[in-house]
Amino acid sequence: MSDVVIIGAAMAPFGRFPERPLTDLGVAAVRAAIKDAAVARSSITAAFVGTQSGGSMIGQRIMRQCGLPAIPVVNVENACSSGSTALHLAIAAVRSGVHETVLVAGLDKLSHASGTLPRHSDDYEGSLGLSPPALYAMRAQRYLHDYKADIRDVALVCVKNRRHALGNANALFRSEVTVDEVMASRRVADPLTLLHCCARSDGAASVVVTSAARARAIGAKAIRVLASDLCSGRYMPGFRDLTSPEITVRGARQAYEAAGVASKDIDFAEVHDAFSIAEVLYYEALGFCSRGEGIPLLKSGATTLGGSIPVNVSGGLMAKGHPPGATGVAQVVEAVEQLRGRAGSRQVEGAKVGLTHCTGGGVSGLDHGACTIHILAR
Amino acid sequence: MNAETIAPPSQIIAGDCWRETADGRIELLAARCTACGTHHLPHVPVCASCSKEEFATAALGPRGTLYAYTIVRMPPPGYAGEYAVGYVDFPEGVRVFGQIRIVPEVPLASGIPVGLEIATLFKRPDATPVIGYRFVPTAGGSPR
Repeated sequence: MSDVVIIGAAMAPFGRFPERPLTDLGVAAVRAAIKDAAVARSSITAAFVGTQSGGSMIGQRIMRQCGLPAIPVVNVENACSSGSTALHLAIAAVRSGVHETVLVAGLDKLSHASGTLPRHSDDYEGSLGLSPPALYAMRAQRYLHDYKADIRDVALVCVKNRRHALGNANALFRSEVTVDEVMASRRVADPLTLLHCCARSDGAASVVVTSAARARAIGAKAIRVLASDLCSGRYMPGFRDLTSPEITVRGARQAYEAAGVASKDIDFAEVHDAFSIAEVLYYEALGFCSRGEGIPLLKSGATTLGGSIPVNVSGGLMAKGHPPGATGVAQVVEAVEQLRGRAGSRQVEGAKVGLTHCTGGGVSGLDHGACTIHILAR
Repeated sequence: MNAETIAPPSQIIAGDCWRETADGRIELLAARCTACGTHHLPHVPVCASCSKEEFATAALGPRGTLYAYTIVRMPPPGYAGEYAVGYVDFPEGVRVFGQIRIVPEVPLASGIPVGLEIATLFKRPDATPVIGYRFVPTAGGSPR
């Protein structure tokens, strides 16, 4: 079993690029990641590529333009966790010794779609009118009910993450919003308004994974992979708790155990803030605070840059937008930049250990379809 | 049942999960595992609790308790307008998703009792009405 490291990381800026083919975004990210890794192309022996809606053979369509025409390519679909699942598979391939140096990419192009993303047409709840915003609206409604909380406080997630992204050239939105603006935006599903929901965007991200031994041999600046955890949803026909995301709780326990760290050891986290309330639930699920303490943690400033556990200093999905297949890899790109001390105005001082969390996929009776958690260290 | 709502052409949705009783009520039908008693709605071929494959049909409720809800303000194509959805807990230990009739005099709240009715839930792109069960907040019910 090899220790696994990341030696290259890059992303194409997330945004709305109606005229630009998805493969162009992928090619830009992959070429930049290979350049960042400074490895010979001939040493890359496989690629794992995640996309939700990029279509068949997306990886091959990209690799032929990147000087990597004949390596084995695996295309991966796991909804919002597609890219981070591709990374999980790449890490497993290196850890097991099947491959030594592997390329990962995640990408999607969704800014042209309108309305809310539907569930698959054969999903029971989806067929009866459930959409992702409606599910998160129910999580928010029940959370506010259980903890006597105020939706205006939940809106602070949007305010914080948009502010974090002011200096992030890779973000879709680089402007601040106020709580009043969040609350006054168009109603989507009570109590959530439009700015409580992430926007779809277009984007791609890529990393190069190799063994620690190989990184030493070529003198690469390596970021260590302490844990790479993938969970699928557990089917629960009974009274599952909508305010505690079971799949993230389970994944976090496994990831911390694999990494040999505890939640208190995490210096910063990139979490799946597809909806404002989601970030609050993940503070609790990842152990940054106790059940019901998410909003006090948020209001204390602990999760803001400069606080004790900064969350989504990249701006998260709220500011970057959400190209599902790209999101999980882009979170890792941010974590690598932070751990290298290259994050500029949004640098978390002294960051040694970072966590990325990407979950999604609506399936009846499951908290989520998939959840990936990566713990990285310098 | 209103004759207009069943005027053809129409489609029944989740038809194995509800029925109209002889006295005109709508009731939900779960699949109850004959080995461990776990109720499933929607039905599954293999029990999530014990992996056995034998089930009996079991009527739920008739009353359930609203666990969580939302009013969807940006309805997808095919919906007549804003609509409410929620999760309802039944005494048999199963939680069921569905649309909820918006009743002005009974505000939605976690803990209120709900009954059932049949309604047109949305329309297909070819305008075919889709008919299924829908929850109805029960007048006089107080939040638990």
